[in-house]
Order: sequence, then C-alpha cells, then structure tokens
Amino acid sequence: MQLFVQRLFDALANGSTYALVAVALVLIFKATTLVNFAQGELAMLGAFVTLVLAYEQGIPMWLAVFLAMIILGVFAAGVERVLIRPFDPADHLPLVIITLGLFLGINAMAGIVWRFDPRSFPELFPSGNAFTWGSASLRWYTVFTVLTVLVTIGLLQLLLNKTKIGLAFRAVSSNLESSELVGIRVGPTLQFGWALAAAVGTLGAAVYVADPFRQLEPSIMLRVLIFAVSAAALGGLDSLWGALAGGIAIGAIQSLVVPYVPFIPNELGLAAAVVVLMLVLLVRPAGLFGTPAVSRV
Amino acid sequence: MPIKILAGSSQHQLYKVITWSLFALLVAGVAFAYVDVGSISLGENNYNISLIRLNKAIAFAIAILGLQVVAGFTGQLALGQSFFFGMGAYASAWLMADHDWPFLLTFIVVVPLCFVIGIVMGLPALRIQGLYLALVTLGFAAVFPAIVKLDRLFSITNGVGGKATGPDGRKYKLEPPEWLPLDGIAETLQKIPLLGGYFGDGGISSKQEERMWAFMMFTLIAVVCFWMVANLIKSRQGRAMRAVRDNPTGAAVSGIDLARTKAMSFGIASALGGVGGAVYVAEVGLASPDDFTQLLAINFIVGLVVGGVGTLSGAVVGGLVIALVPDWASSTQEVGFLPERWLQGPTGSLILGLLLILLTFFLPGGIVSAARTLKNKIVRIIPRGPNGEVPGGASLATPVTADDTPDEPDSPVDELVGAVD
Amino acid sequence: MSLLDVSGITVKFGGITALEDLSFTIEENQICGLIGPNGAGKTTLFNVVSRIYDPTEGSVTFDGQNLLELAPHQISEVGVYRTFQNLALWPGMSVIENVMAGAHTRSKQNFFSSMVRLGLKKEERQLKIDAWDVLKQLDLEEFAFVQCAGLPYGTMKRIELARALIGRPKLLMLDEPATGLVHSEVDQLGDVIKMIRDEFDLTILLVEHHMGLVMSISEKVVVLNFGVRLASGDPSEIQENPEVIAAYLGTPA
Repeated sequence: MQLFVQRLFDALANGSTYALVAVALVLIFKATTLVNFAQGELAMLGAFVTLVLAYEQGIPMWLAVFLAMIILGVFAAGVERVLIRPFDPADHLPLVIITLGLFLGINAMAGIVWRFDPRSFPELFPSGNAFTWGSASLRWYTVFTVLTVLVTIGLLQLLLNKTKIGLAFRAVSSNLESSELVGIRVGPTLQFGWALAAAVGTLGAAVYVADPFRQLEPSIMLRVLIFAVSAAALGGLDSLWGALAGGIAIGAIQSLVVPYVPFIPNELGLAAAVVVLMLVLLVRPAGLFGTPAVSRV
Repeated sequence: MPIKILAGSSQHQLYKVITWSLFALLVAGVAFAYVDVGSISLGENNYNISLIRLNKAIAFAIAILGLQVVAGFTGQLALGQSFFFGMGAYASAWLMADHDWPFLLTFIVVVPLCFVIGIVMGLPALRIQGLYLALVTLGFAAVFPAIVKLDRLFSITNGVGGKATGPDGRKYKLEPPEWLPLDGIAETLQKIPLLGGYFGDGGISSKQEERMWAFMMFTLIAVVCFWMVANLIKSRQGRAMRAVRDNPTGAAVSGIDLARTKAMSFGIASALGGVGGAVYVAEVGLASPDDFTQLLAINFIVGLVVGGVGTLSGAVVGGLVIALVPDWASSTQEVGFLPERWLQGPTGSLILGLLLILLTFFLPGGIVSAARTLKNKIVRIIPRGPNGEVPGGASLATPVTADDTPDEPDSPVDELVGAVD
Repeated sequence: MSLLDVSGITVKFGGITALEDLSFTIEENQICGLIGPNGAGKTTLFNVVSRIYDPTEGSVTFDGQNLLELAPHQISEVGVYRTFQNLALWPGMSVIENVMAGAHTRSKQNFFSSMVRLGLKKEERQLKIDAWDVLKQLDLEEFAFVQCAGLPYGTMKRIELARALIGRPKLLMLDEPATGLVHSEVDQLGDVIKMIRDEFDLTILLVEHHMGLVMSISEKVVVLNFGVRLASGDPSEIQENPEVIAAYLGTPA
C-alpha cells in the first residue's frame, strides 16, 4: 500500500513537470496551430541561462529564473520576427521545417557552448519531505511543482480571458483572416505568443532540473519533450487545462500503470504512454479536451 | 539553349540512352576508385568520401525514399521511419547470423515483415490526422531502442551490445561472384589517360573486392527500389496517392478508397525503410539499438526536406547529406578562424539546422528544385499528347513518326528530376 | 422508374436541422436544377448523395441501388460523379493527370502491378487518349501538361468538369458551376452543360444561384428553403409560384 502511495506521489511529481512543459507547447499551438519542435530546446536554453545567471553572476535563484524567462522571451520574440514572420501562418510546412532547424541548431549551439557534461542545478524549492507515511514520502519539491503548474495555468487563463492581448491571441488562433480584417496586428500577437511560450518553457525546464536528483545538460529536454508532447496531445493541443490533465495522465501511466500491468516491462514506460496517446486519439481525434477541427466541404 | 526534345521522339530515346549510360559509368567509376572516391580539402583537412560512407548514404536514401512515398507523395505525416529501418536491420542481421541466410535472401523476410507491420501501424492513421499522427509516429520511433533492449528479446537482438551480422560477433562477408573479373576491369581502367591514376595501382585485394561488390550490389538494390517507386508514382495508384495528399474529398468522390491508399502507402514506405535498414546493417556489420533512435527519424526528415519533398532524386540528395555532413563536421579538425571547440560533435547538427532554415527561405523545394531549374535551362523535354500533339502550338520542326511511343521509361535524369512532380 | 429517388431525407447537425423530410426524383437524361436561398441545404443534399454526410433519416436510390449503403469512394462505381463549389482539384499534379485520376474507378492497375510495370502500358495509353479527348471537348488541351495550380478560376472549373466526365458518369452533380463566371461565360456554360448531356448521355443535377442559367437549361426545378422543399416543377411553374417568390424576394410588408 505504501508503495502504491509512493508511486502516486511519483506520478504527481513527474506528471506536473510534463504538464508545465506541455503548457508551453499548448500555448504556441493555440497561437499558431504549429507544434513547435524548438520549444524544448528554448526551454533548455532558458535553464542554462538561469544557471549562468545564478552561478556566474551570483543572482538569487528565483530572480535568476525570472530574468531567464524574460531573456528567453525576448530571444523568442526575435526568432519569431526574423524567422517566422516572413511566412504565411496558414502554410504549415515551411514553419514546421524552420522549427525543426531551430531544434537542431539550438541543441547544437548549447552543446558547443556548454558541452555535454551534466551539471548540478541549484534547488528552487525547500528540500525534504512535506508528508511521510511509512516508507512513502511526498517531497516538498512535488508539492511546489504542482503549485507552480496550477498558478501558471491560472495566470495564463486570466491573461487569455481577461486582457486585451489575450483576446487578440484567442482571435488569431481561432481565425487568422478575420483577425486581420478587424485590425488585429497578427504579427506582434504571434510574437507575444512565442515569447510567452518560451518563458513558460524556461520555467518548466528550471523546475524540472531543480529536482535534486536531476542534472542539467543539453539533451535533457529531449526526453521530457516526448512526454510533454504526448501530454499536450492527450489533453488536446489547444487546451491549457488539458495539458495539466494530460501531464498527470502520462505521469500516472509511467508510475502507476506500468508497474502494475504484468506484461509491460518497466523500460517501456514511454511506449505505454505513446500507445495510450494513440488509443485516445483514435476515440477523440482532437485529444481529450481539444476542439475538433471542422471544415466546410 | 534550352535544347528542346519532344517526348517519345527518337532524340528522346537517344537522350535516355546517353544519360543512363553516363549513370552506369559513374557507378562503375565510383566502385573502381575503391577506398577513396574523392577527397575534399578545406584548409588542413582531408575528408575522404569512402565507399563505406557512400554505402550508408545509399541505405539512408532508400529509407528517405520510403518517407517520400508516405509523406511526400501521399501527404501522411508518418515520421517514424527509423523504426522500420531498425527492424529491417535487426531482422536481416538475425537471419544472417543465426540462420546462415545469404544477404539477398533476407529481403524475402524483411520486405513483407516491414510491409505488414507498416500497414498495422498505419491503421490508426486512418483516424488520426496530420500533426497528431506525426507525434504518435515519432513516439514509436523513440520507443524502438527500448523494445530492442528488452530482456525477453535478448536471444534475437542481443540487447545493448547489438546484433552482429556474422557468427561470433563478426561481420557477414559479402563476397563477389567468381566470374566477375574485377581485377581485369581495374587494370583496364588504370590505363585510361589522365584519369587512370584514380583507379589505383595494380590488382585488387580481396577486402577491396568485397567493398566494391557491396557498393555495386547496394546501388543495384537502390536502383530497383527507385525504379519501382517511379513506376508507382506515374501510374494510376500514384495519382491516387497524390490525390489523397492534395485533396482527400476530391479523391473520395473520384472513386479513390482513402483508407486503402493510405494503408498501402504506409506499407510500401515501411518496406522501403526495412530495405534501407538491411543495407545499412550489411555495411556496418552490427545492428545496435542506439543507432535507431528518434534522432535518426529526425535525420530522415531533414534528408527528406533538404533533398526536396515529393521528389525521387531528393531522397538520394537527402541520403548523401545526412550520411556525409555530420560525419564531415565531426572529423574536420581545424578551420582557420573558428576556435577548436566548435568543431566537435554537434557541429553537424548545427549545419543541418542552418541548412533547413536557409533552404526554407531561399529554396523551399529543396536542393532538387534548384537542380531542376538548372536542367531545364539546358535540356527541356516537351510532353506530348497520346497521338503526338504538342499543346500550345509546336515551335519544333521535327515531324512525329509512327513508332514514337510516349510510354517508355525516362532517362534517370528525367525520372528523378523532371518527370515526376 | 426514376434514375435518382431522394425520399424523406432529414439531416441534423446537433441542434440544427439542415434538411427536413426532403423528397424529389430525377428522370433519366433530365437536367434538374436545385435552387434556394443561401443556407437552404442544397450543398448538404449534395453531400448526402455523394456520401460525405449521413442522413438522420430517409433513403436515396440511384438506378435501383440504395446509395446510402455505399462509402464515398464507391458512388463512382455506380456512376455518380460531382463537382465542388470550392473546387477540389489536386494542385500537385498536372491538368491531364488530374483528369486521368478521375477515371480511377474504370482502371485496374493495382499497387503491385504498377510497381513492376505489369499490364501498365495499354491501360495508361488508353487513359491518356480518353483524357485528351475530354480535354479537347472542353477546350483545355493547351493546359494539359501545366501544373493544376494558379490557373484562372473558370479554367479550373472546366478541369473539374473534365475530371468528372472521364469517369463516364450516369449522374453528374454540379455544385454552383457558374460561380465566379462573367455573363458571357455563363452563357457558354449553359451550352456546354447541354452539350455534354447530349453527347455523354448524362443526367444532370445542378445547384445554382444564377437564375438565368437554371431557368434556361433545366427541365425540372426543385426549390429548397430552410431545409424544406418549397416547390417542384418545370421552370415556368416555379417562376410563377408565389411561395418561391416570397422566399427570394420577401412578401410585401
């Protein structure tokens, strides 16, 4: 029983970090209906920037994270302006290829600048356990991660639903042409979306690596990305709360389902997640909470 | 300029004979310049494009050809090609090592195996669209190494250590047939004035013979694959595939069974992936789980795009690019002004990434689109109607003769560069 | 027996009823016009017959065959072809390839035989001849080998028509063929439609807004309004029907 509870806590821990990165993915998808391959790498870059600020500049951790979020936001805004804006947002292929190029390029640059040796990352949250029950322990890290996700989604929902820029954002993702026609400046709106997604991604990566058991190196986000993408798709690529649900679900599959289903070896945790994703998409082609695409014939 | 040739005319036949002969000569030439096909020197570095690397390029090109079939021509974003590449590699290695099968015979298993599994994995594609499909298929590609490392499959896959193609962990030997006078041909080629020096000196060692034979055989396998796909694209089902890509509703009301067409494209693409994998493992000698990760799948996508989506020759270009560029980047020791740390490991990926971005801005059709524009400035094949009609009025004086048939196979240049899409 | 028998068709999308208990018939070789204000359900009816939508109730019988038990790609096998309001051509292929693909149902090569060129040559040659003939009849041969993208709108409409014709349809459904055409082109279109009906021995069902075109070439006209059949008869009857006039022009206040 205690093992089960421990696994429950693990699911929560993993799931919420996937959710945080998934939120960044959903954000960029809502704006551009693109899945941004580069999202994970931007997040990873953000984590490294945080490290540089904290270690080499001696800035306190949370401030470093905040600054990194801003820096990455500005960087992503620049990327959007230079590399994305020249293309028609409706034509996906060139944009997907550019994000793929960014993915490869940023990852390579990080490897060149910082090498591939893992580095330890300072902690963001108090260490130790919030709650113990026999051998099952709920770490403060998990509690705060969940809190961070909830607060982030809450703030984003506020932004999207209660502000003018949020309205512009929703309009653009719903119908690009009409938005242009009513005078919404699509370019800057998308740019804002990119900046926001990069900032949230940075937060997600920082939180992920702040786990005392993890270390930072350029390829960390590759693993997380697959889980995060599955989480985002599972929840529906255009739903923020769906990202949370998806993240928890993936975390649950990893920690709860796989150990208890006898014929799935533990190493296939990712495989189980992919299979579940596929099964969900078969039943609900737009993900659990996503809006299905409707087209006029 | 450009030289205008009427499709199906006798000049067209001549053109085809010339281009195919040049192609054959090129292959023979490359084979006989054995270990060092050529060197590229930049500063202090000498990069040798050896047969080993070319063989890998051939394997990749076949896999990317599969991607062209499913994504380029049918519009299905099935991006997990590395899964089938790996499957073909392991299946072939297992048959050669554990069951003593000759290399070519393994295709009898690899092709149907990958075909069937490709269709099975393609069934969900009938419901899952576009981006989600891309994500799921990449997910499967990511999972392949874990599957292959499972304890339960250890007897077949040999786990983390990888499966060798020959007994006792050695490599399967591809021996050239007795009757092929490779020594004789080599000596003849060495007598060619000016170029003779490239073909070595004297006879050929048995190791070099094996390499040359492997290269020629892999090239032949690739030519067969490309020929079959070219035939497919120009035929009724090829039109059906492209119809499904461009407008599925229009395709449906024109009588095209969307499900069947998509499923078949998955099957064929996966079979090609498997063939590529078998060629790869025959060259490398070892099927190792971490060779077949989602990074390989991403590389295939890069090759697809760099070459040119929806073209055949794009697959060849793509294969060359992903086989040679990262390799060149990591073996280059020094480039003038760049600090040393830039020239390790990831530079290859950096170049590929930059290449993707630059191409999207300046050459969205891939490298092949530039080649096509160039070729059309030199030679232009004018297509004609079934009875020789030239649409838009004829600006050519050549009369149509009775035995001109427009249905002959095109020369490799047109097949690959011009005639299809 | 009528060639096409639409009986009691009802189509609901969630809370919206697009078609309500719609019934009408078309006789062989007839040109039948389907008209009505925007949103009346005309394209919905087309989509039901071409099996893109499933009706909630009702039946559709074509030449004795229950059409509703067929999948969209099977209707061409029984001879039903259609064009689209917003064009559904394939820009990645040339014009002649677009047309040749329209004969998909009539040809036999499968994936495997075509990859090894078995039995390919004769059939491909015949398809090319057929395609060329249709292109000639619609004045399109000059575009045969041109990419099917970026051509003038009127030309693309004719290409879609050519694509439908090569399948040797029995029933040809045209969805707003006159949209985007200028006056003189509309007159030409009328002539073309009558010509192909005679030459190809077709039956034609036509959705159209251009009243001049509909009334001049149709032998029968069915009027829809808000998903319900308002009237059905020959053009002169329809033009004098007070309910039809009210639906289009409104009633005096």
